[in-house]
Amino acid sequence: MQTLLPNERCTNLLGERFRPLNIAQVGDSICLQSDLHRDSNHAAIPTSMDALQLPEDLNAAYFLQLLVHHDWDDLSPALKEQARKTLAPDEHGTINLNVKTKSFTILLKGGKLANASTWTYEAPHSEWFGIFISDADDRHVRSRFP
Amino acid sequence: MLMTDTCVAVFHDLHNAPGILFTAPQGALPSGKNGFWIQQFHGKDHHVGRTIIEFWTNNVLTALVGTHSRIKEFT
Repeated sequence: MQTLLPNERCTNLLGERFRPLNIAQVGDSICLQSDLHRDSNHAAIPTSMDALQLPEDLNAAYFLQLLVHHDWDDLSPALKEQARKTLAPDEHGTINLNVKTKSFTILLKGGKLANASTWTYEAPHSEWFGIFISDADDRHVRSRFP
Repeated sequence: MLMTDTCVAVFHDLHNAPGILFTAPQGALPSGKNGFWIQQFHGKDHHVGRTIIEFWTNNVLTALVGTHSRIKEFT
Protein backbone atom coordinates (compact mmCIF):
# COMPACT_ATOMS: atom_id res chain seq x y z
CA MET A 1 0.00 0.00 0.00
CA GLN A 2 1.49 3.28 -1.09
CA THR A 3 0.48 6.45 0.72
CA LEU A 4 -0.22 9.21 -1.77
CA LEU A 5 -1.19 12.11 0.45
CA PRO A 6 -0.64 13.09 4.07
CA ASN A 7 -3.43 12.55 6.51
CA GLU A 8 -5.84 15.42 6.58
CA ARG A 9 -9.20 16.12 8.08
CA CYS A 10 -12.16 15.18 5.89
CA THR A 11 -15.90 15.57 5.91
CA ASN A 12 -18.24 12.65 5.74
CA LEU A 13 -21.50 12.62 3.82
CA LEU A 14 -23.35 14.08 6.78
CA GLY A 15 -20.97 16.97 7.15
CA GLU A 16 -19.22 15.54 10.20
CA ARG A 17 -15.52 16.27 10.50
CA PHE A 18 -13.10 13.43 10.91
CA ARG A 19 -9.47 12.67 10.26
CA PRO A 20 -8.87 9.77 7.89
CA LEU A 21 -6.20 7.25 8.72
CA ASN A 22 -4.78 7.11 5.28
CA ILE A 23 -5.30 7.90 1.63
CA ALA A 24 -3.60 5.23 -0.37
CA GLN A 25 -3.48 3.34 -3.60
CA VAL A 26 -4.03 -0.41 -3.73
CA GLY A 27 -3.40 -1.70 -7.21
CA ASP A 28 -5.63 0.38 -9.46
CA SER A 29 -8.01 1.39 -6.67
CA ILE A 30 -7.89 4.48 -4.51
CA CYS A 31 -8.39 3.84 -0.85
CA LEU A 32 -9.48 6.28 1.82
CA GLN A 33 -9.42 4.61 5.19
CA SER A 34 -11.15 6.35 8.01
CA ASP A 35 -12.18 6.05 11.61
CA LEU A 36 -15.77 6.21 10.48
CA HIS A 37 -15.65 2.63 9.33
CA ARG A 38 -13.75 1.23 12.27
CA ASP A 39 -15.51 -0.43 15.15
CA SER A 40 -14.64 -2.99 17.77
CA ASN A 41 -15.38 -5.94 15.51
CA HIS A 42 -13.95 -4.82 12.22
CA ALA A 43 -10.70 -3.40 10.98
CA ALA A 44 -10.79 -0.13 9.08
CA ILE A 45 -12.59 -0.55 5.78
CA PRO A 46 -11.20 1.37 2.82
CA THR A 47 -13.97 3.87 2.36
CA SER A 48 -13.49 4.75 -1.26
CA MET A 49 -13.41 1.12 -2.30
CA ASP A 50 -16.89 0.97 -0.80
CA ALA A 51 -17.65 4.14 -2.68
CA LEU A 52 -16.75 2.55 -5.97
CA GLN A 53 -19.65 0.17 -5.43
CA LEU A 54 -22.09 2.90 -4.42
CA PRO A 55 -24.58 4.67 -6.69
CA GLU A 56 -23.03 7.24 -8.96
CA ASP A 57 -23.98 10.27 -6.89
CA LEU A 58 -22.42 8.93 -3.68
CA ASN A 59 -19.37 7.74 -5.54
CA ALA A 60 -18.89 11.27 -6.87
CA ALA A 61 -19.43 12.69 -3.39
CA TYR A 62 -16.35 10.92 -2.09
CA PHE A 63 -14.17 12.52 -4.73
CA LEU A 64 -15.76 15.91 -4.14
CA GLN A 65 -14.91 15.55 -0.45
CA LEU A 66 -11.34 14.78 -1.37
CA LEU A 67 -11.23 17.97 -3.44
CA VAL A 68 -12.54 20.01 -0.53
CA HIS A 69 -9.33 19.33 1.34
CA HIS A 70 -6.84 18.95 -1.47
CA ASP A 71 -6.02 21.34 -4.28
CA TRP A 72 -6.57 19.68 -7.66
CA ASP A 73 -3.02 20.49 -8.68
CA ASP A 74 -1.69 18.61 -5.65
CA LEU A 75 -3.46 15.34 -6.45
CA SER A 76 -1.45 12.44 -7.74
CA PRO A 77 -1.96 11.41 -11.39
CA ALA A 78 -3.79 8.27 -10.21
CA LEU A 79 -6.26 10.25 -8.15
CA LYS A 80 -6.82 12.73 -10.96
CA GLU A 81 -7.58 9.91 -13.34
CA GLN A 82 -10.10 8.41 -10.92
CA ALA A 83 -11.71 11.78 -10.33
CA ARG A 84 -12.05 12.47 -14.04
CA LYS A 85 -13.79 9.12 -14.50
CA THR A 86 -16.16 9.84 -11.63
CA LEU A 87 -17.01 13.54 -11.86
CA ALA A 88 -18.43 15.71 -14.61
CA PRO A 89 -15.79 17.65 -16.57
CA ASP A 90 -14.47 20.48 -14.44
CA GLU A 91 -15.10 24.08 -15.44
CA HIS A 92 -12.79 27.00 -14.83
CA GLY A 93 -13.92 30.47 -13.92
CA THR A 94 -13.61 33.31 -11.44
CA ILE A 95 -15.25 33.76 -8.07
CA ASN A 96 -16.39 36.87 -6.22
CA LEU A 97 -17.42 36.27 -2.64
CA ASN A 98 -18.75 38.67 -0.05
CA VAL A 99 -18.91 36.88 3.25
CA LYS A 100 -20.72 39.64 5.09
CA THR A 101 -23.64 39.61 2.70
CA LYS A 102 -23.43 35.87 2.09
CA SER A 103 -23.38 36.38 -1.64
CA PHE A 104 -21.15 35.09 -4.36
CA THR A 105 -20.87 35.24 -8.10
CA ILE A 106 -19.19 32.67 -10.25
CA LEU A 107 -18.27 33.51 -13.83
CA LEU A 108 -17.51 30.39 -15.78
CA LYS A 109 -15.48 30.48 -18.95
CA GLY A 110 -17.73 30.35 -21.95
CA GLY A 111 -19.94 33.12 -20.69
CA LYS A 112 -22.20 31.16 -18.35
CA LEU A 113 -22.84 33.74 -15.65
CA ALA A 114 -24.03 32.49 -12.32
CA ASN A 115 -24.90 34.15 -9.05
CA ALA A 116 -26.46 33.25 -5.75
CA SER A 117 -30.00 33.42 -7.02
CA THR A 118 -29.82 32.00 -10.50
CA TRP A 119 -26.83 29.72 -10.61
CA THR A 120 -27.71 26.36 -12.09
CA TYR A 121 -26.07 24.42 -9.33
CA GLU A 122 -27.85 26.12 -6.48
CA ALA A 123 -31.43 25.01 -6.15
CA PRO A 124 -34.07 27.55 -5.10
CA HIS A 125 -34.53 27.99 -1.36
CA SER A 126 -31.09 26.66 -0.55
CA GLU A 127 -29.93 27.52 2.93
CA TRP A 128 -26.53 28.44 4.32
CA PHE A 129 -25.20 25.71 6.55
CA GLY A 130 -22.25 27.74 7.69
CA ILE A 131 -19.12 29.69 7.02
CA PHE A 132 -15.95 28.69 8.73
CA ILE A 133 -12.26 29.34 8.78
CA SER A 134 -9.39 26.95 9.27
CA ASP A 135 -6.08 27.80 10.88
CA ALA A 136 -2.58 26.83 9.86
CA ASP A 137 -3.05 23.31 11.20
CA ASP A 138 -6.26 22.89 9.23
CA ARG A 139 -8.36 23.08 12.36
CA HIS A 140 -11.77 24.62 12.22
CA VAL A 141 -11.19 27.69 14.38
CA ARG A 142 -14.27 29.83 13.98
CA SER A 143 -17.71 29.75 12.42
CA ARG A 144 -19.38 32.91 11.41
CA PHE A 145 -22.94 33.55 10.30
CA PRO A 146 -23.03 37.17 9.18
CA MET B 1 -4.08 43.32 5.82
CA LEU B 2 -1.13 41.23 6.89
CA MET B 3 -1.59 37.62 7.86
CA THR B 4 -0.02 36.89 11.20
CA ASP B 5 -0.39 34.17 13.78
CA THR B 6 -2.71 36.40 15.74
CA CYS B 7 -5.22 37.00 12.96
CA VAL B 8 -5.73 33.59 11.46
CA ALA B 9 -9.48 33.81 11.84
CA VAL B 10 -10.06 36.51 9.29
CA PHE B 11 -12.23 35.44 6.42
CA HIS B 12 -11.22 37.30 3.29
CA ASP B 13 -13.64 38.18 0.53
CA LEU B 14 -12.74 37.09 -2.97
CA HIS B 15 -12.44 39.41 -5.93
CA ASN B 16 -12.19 37.71 -9.32
CA ALA B 17 -10.32 34.79 -7.82
CA PRO B 18 -9.61 31.99 -10.29
CA GLY B 19 -11.28 28.74 -9.39
CA ILE B 20 -12.59 25.42 -10.60
CA LEU B 21 -16.11 24.01 -10.48
CA PHE B 22 -16.44 20.29 -9.88
CA THR B 23 -19.82 18.58 -10.05
CA ALA B 24 -21.28 15.14 -9.78
CA PRO B 25 -21.88 13.64 -13.22
CA GLN B 26 -25.65 13.87 -13.05
CA GLY B 27 -25.44 17.60 -13.74
CA ALA B 28 -28.06 19.84 -12.17
CA LEU B 29 -28.88 19.12 -8.57
CA PRO B 30 -31.81 16.83 -7.90
CA SER B 31 -34.76 18.15 -5.97
CA GLY B 32 -34.61 17.99 -2.20
CA LYS B 33 -33.14 19.92 0.69
CA ASN B 34 -30.22 21.99 -0.56
CA GLY B 35 -27.60 24.02 1.19
CA PHE B 36 -24.01 25.05 1.10
CA TRP B 37 -20.96 25.58 3.24
CA ILE B 38 -18.12 27.98 2.72
CA GLN B 39 -14.70 27.25 4.12
CA GLN B 40 -11.49 29.22 3.86
CA PHE B 41 -8.26 27.54 4.72
CA HIS B 42 -5.34 29.27 6.34
CA GLY B 43 -3.40 31.53 4.02
CA LYS B 44 0.36 31.49 3.85
CA ASP B 45 2.94 34.07 2.87
CA HIS B 46 0.45 36.92 2.65
CA HIS B 47 -1.92 35.05 0.37
CA VAL B 48 -5.61 34.36 0.87
CA GLY B 49 -6.14 30.73 1.79
CA ARG B 50 -7.87 28.27 -0.48
CA THR B 51 -11.60 28.90 -0.40
CA ILE B 52 -14.20 26.22 -1.00
CA ILE B 53 -17.94 26.52 -1.54
CA GLU B 54 -19.63 23.16 -1.02
CA PHE B 55 -23.11 22.40 -2.36
CA TRP B 56 -25.14 19.70 -0.65
CA THR B 57 -28.40 18.06 -1.67
CA ASN B 58 -30.15 15.70 0.69
CA ASN B 59 -26.97 15.41 2.76
CA VAL B 60 -24.91 14.46 -0.28
CA LEU B 61 -22.09 16.65 -1.55
CA THR B 62 -23.01 17.32 -5.19
CA ALA B 63 -20.76 20.17 -6.31
CA LEU B 64 -17.98 22.44 -5.14
CA VAL B 65 -16.19 25.52 -6.30
CA GLY B 66 -12.64 25.92 -5.12
CA THR B 67 -9.90 28.47 -5.54
CA HIS B 68 -6.27 27.62 -5.78
CA SER B 69 -4.01 27.62 -2.75
CA ARG B 70 -2.34 30.91 -3.53
CA ILE B 71 -4.63 33.30 -5.30
CA LYS B 72 -3.86 36.84 -4.32
CA GLU B 73 -1.70 38.86 -2.05
CA PHE B 74 -3.37 40.73 0.75
CA THR B 75 -3.55 44.46 0.28
